Amino acid sequence: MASLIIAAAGLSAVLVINSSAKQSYSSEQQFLIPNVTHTITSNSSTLKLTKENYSDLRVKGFYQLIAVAQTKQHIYKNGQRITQRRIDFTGIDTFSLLTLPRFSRPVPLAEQVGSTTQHKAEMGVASDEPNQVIKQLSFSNPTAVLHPQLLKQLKYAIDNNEDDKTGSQAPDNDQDIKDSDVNVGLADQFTTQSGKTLTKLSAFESPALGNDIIMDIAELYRLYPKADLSMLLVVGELTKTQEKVLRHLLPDYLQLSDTIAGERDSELTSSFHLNLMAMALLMFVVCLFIVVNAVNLLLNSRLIWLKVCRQLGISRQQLFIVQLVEILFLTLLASLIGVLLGVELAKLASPTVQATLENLYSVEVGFGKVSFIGLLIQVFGICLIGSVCATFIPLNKLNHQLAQSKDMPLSVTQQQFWNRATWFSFGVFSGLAYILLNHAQALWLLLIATALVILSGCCLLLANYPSMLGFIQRFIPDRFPLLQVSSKQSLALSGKTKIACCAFFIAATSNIGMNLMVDSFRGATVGWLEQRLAADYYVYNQGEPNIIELAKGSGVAVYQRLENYTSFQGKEIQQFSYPTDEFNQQAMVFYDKSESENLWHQFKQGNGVLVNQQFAFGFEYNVNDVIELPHPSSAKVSSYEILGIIYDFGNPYAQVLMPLDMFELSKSKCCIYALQGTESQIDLLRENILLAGFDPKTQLLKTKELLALSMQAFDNTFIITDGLNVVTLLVAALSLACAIIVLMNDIRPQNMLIRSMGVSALKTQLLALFQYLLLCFVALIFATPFGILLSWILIVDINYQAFSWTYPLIISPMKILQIYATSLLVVATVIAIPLFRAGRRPLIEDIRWVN
Amino acid sequence: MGKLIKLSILLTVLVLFVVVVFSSNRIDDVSSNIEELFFNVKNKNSDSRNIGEASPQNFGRGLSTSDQQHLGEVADPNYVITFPKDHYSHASFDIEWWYLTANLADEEGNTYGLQWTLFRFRNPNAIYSSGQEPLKSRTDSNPKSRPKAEQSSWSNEHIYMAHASVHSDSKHWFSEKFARGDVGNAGVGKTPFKLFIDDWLWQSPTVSLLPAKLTFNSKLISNHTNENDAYQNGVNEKNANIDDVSYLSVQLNLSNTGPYVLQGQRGYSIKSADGKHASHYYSAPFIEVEGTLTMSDSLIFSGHHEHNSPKNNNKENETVVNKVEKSIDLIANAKQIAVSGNAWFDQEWTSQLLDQATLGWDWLSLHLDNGDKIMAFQMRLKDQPNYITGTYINADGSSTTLMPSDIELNAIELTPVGNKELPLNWQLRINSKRLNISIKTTKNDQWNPASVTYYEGTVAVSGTHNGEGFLELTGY
Repeated sequence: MASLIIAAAGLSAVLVINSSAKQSYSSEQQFLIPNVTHTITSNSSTLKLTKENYSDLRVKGFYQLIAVAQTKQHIYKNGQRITQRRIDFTGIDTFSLLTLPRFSRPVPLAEQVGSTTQHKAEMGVASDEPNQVIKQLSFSNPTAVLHPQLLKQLKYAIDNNEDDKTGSQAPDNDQDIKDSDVNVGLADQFTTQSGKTLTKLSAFESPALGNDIIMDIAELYRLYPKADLSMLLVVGELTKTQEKVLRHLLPDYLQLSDTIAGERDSELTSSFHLNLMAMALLMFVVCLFIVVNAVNLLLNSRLIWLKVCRQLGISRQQLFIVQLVEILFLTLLASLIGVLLGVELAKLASPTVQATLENLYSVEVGFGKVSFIGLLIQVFGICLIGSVCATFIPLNKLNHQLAQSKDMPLSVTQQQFWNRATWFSFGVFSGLAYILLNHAQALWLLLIATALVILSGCCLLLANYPSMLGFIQRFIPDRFPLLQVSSKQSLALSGKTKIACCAFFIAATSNIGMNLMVDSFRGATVGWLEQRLAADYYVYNQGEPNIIELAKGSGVAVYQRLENYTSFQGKEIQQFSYPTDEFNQQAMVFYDKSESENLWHQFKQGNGVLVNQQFAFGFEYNVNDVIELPHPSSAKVSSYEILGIIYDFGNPYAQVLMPLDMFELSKSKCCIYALQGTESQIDLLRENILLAGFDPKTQLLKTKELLALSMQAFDNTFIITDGLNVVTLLVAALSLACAIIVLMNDIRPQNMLIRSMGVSALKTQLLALFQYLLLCFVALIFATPFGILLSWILIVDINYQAFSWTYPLIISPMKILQIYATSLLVVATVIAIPLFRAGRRPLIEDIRWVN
Repeated sequence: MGKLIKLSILLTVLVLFVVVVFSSNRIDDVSSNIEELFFNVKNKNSDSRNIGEASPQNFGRGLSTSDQQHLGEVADPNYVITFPKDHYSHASFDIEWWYLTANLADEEGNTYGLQWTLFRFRNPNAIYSSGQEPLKSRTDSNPKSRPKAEQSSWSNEHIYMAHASVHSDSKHWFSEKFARGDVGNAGVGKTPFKLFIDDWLWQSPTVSLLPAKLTFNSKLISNHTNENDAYQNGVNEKNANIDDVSYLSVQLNLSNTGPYVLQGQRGYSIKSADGKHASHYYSAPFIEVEGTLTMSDSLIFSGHHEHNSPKNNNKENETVVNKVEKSIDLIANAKQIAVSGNAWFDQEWTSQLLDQATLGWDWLSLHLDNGDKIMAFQMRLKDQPNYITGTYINADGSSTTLMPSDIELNAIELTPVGNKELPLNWQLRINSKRLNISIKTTKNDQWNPASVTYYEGTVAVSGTHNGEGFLELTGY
């Protein structure tokens, strides 16, 4: 029951978070505007997108362009800030939107028969609501649209601000917002920092709205005259010729990117969803293992009662139906509680975790509207399928037990059959996995392959348990008869705890796999960062202050990284500069490089480029291949040889490095400066920065600090994975504990016998513990190669396909031993409880029970 | 055991079914929730003008201030219209339009009715720096002391709207555009004179209105091969291929062969018996048009503005764009039709037209075969008799203002078109000119289904005189 609740809670929490993250992603690029195919943005730090660019392009016929300006601002009331997080204020040129086909589809009068609404429905005028909302934005009194939830938060903030003493509460339901005329009342109270009153706020429930307020662009500029025009959206498809003309018309510093960039983001987001979903499913599946064991336990305890029922003439079918109905009710109850818990969990996750998630995975977590009943039915459905399947195995067993008057062990032929079937399954699973891993490209197929590898591991374990235990037994000296008995018993146990052992095996394998992967990734990242971050200090900024100017005279050597974004084979890529001096040459970390000795000479000459793994894998290029790229400053397309493939962990973009002197500051962005100099020289620069009116502390980052900061970010990212590992182990151990309770009955006679021979209760229990730990130990031994294989697949196949970069696998024996220790400790702790409880039972009870 | 398996399968299928059905219902739930909320929002804002509704509607009412007390500059009977100054924008007035209608024909004798209009409205929602309230709620009626709109680099107090409509016998191309002042994509240029909104452009080589080149494009919205069947049978016949996007690109050369005509009293046009409704109004009724209509599957770039971006000074790039434009002509299967005919241009500016008393107007511009021109209109006002007036323009350019006593203008019948009944047949009598003519639209549905809807269509003239022209109906 508890495990079902946990399963349902986890599942529904993840569903809620997932749906809100999924819904809000769409708001990233589109605001309330559907069908955005391209965006135009500035790629220069000095030259910005302007109103003139916009009007110029429209005048030339590109009136599918919509100007969008954005600014992140706090909201004030009576000069006091009332928002915790800054809100995204977005201004759209609604006038241009109005006449786009999506919003206005003129219909001849002759076809307008009947009422307008009916007619609109007939003609399928696309989504009337946004249309009206946009019209509302442009022609009625200035209005801003926001999500009801955000309005609720603002109202709450204002109430809190007003009467802290009365401790007013946030309105409990949305109805409060809809009914009360907050739209008019609240707006008068909100101001910008400079005291300008915000426009009338209108709540509009749309999944595209998150932590933002959307209004007409003129209104945004009235409130925030300094807001930047952030992009021009292209609504609707551009024909090839249109695209060509548009690219020609754009000044050099403006770039047209199709929403592939958005898709890349969405790829990241979908990997986030995948991650969450995988977490939930793993949790769910492992919980099901517990359910299997729990049902087993339940039926076992009722076996006598059921047998009596049979003797009374109740048919087996009737008995099963009663059991199933019971499971049905239990599942319903569990899902109900689970969903309640899950929704609360998801609520807890926002907004504190919301911000963390946003930073970690660069997704916008919005206000997902999830119907409670819908969620309940979904979760209940999944749980029911799961628990019915889970019940099926014990029921099947029960069926056998009820059919026989005596519990008979499997015959030798049956055993052989099972043994062969296990080996056969192992062959099928591993064969399929092998084929998929070698030929499949799609991520989901690779994930299936991973699952198959783990399943084949299970089969191998099951097939080899007896021989392995027998093998271990040989090493136990005759001096310890009790240990020998115990190991023999574990052999018998292994036949009965198959499922629990498999659960443990899966947990251990994924534990080893994930840990090795994270460990390898960590090692690779540290090595890479240490080598790449070769300079003493780094400065991250957007051109203000000009570090090169300030560093003059201080003796500090400044290397700047100039950035361009360009398009290669229709995808956006980064074109970055890289300094060519000896020092920076040493700092480069190659995955693969040209054999040629004068690699750096060729790079300096501008004949060749370095590309990151993302580029090489994504576009399928190797070292020494020739690619055509635009020159970073002249944009003239020429051929370049790939001189080397470099590591570039975590970068979602394909990247090309070119020598610094090919870039021009006027055409490229510069955000990072690397500084090299003695401590006294740096001090001098620090003073210069201070003199220029900037805070050197926020500007200058020491490499060590930067490294620490990076690794901290790295570790934070994998906290979730660590947490997941522990949970999986715990659940596996719980599953084992359930199995033990069932099996405790089976070994009661043996235990009784041992105890009557004068062995103390503690000793017997220790021996029992030894048996289980032995089983776990064997499972761990089997899990090790599979864990290593798993991490290899994760790194070489899944990471390659999902992110286009890989890193070397580091197998650290210490890490594996550490996992052994933790796993056994967790198992020992969990199973010790039922064991010692049984141990406290007086011997006489067992003797009575046997008799 | 078999039964157990069956039962489990049945249960599983049942659960799957419920999950699938419910999740699809959920989507509907969400959308209906949005709808519900939207209607709440809309109802709360019912005071805001519903500019897209098809119910009887006063022309342009939603776009400009209509409160009598808070008008922009009032038309002055003593104002002397001078050119080219008065071709330009009169920013202190609430509403202004530059309005071209043309009766065209191709070499095969097919006729086309063409309308191109640029409207300028003063934004009723501009927030003003002193007191920060919309103009319409202010009581200051003296336009000179009116406060300036609060600065936003993305709007001044003007909104531009443009309509382009072309009718052939069976087709209607119509497009609408909106822009705000001060952004740079719409306005009136002085040297040389130009009217523009996005790539729609009226470009004169001089500081004067005419001669000029007009370029715009418009989208096909209706294609009835047999129009009469569709209307007479009352069948809501679906347009043939209307889903295929199809455009009409228009390039016209306009030349003026006669004088500008000042309507009313030296350009001060009174629109109601009590004189409260009036405008400054002049016409150019003697425009000869020749040009091409190009039908194509995709949009053809018609913008020929002087460009300011760095690339446009580069001849190489210009040629690339030109080449691309030419290739578009080829790609788009463009069909070019040479057309010529008569056009009529009006410019009118006022702050006293769009008030609550104005129900609408019926306006006619006629080119008679003898070279004479007639402008006639009937203003329909609430609680007042209709006000009918006009101008008779001789072929030599001399003109006579027709007072209500000089002119009889009657709608003969109402014709049902879609969900409306419109007066499409008229009788016009001017006794002093011995003129008694019937005016009938050449096609029933010439309704402009824009944000601001009205009827603008070609008419045929018969009776004592023959000719052609345009009928405009607003407020239906």
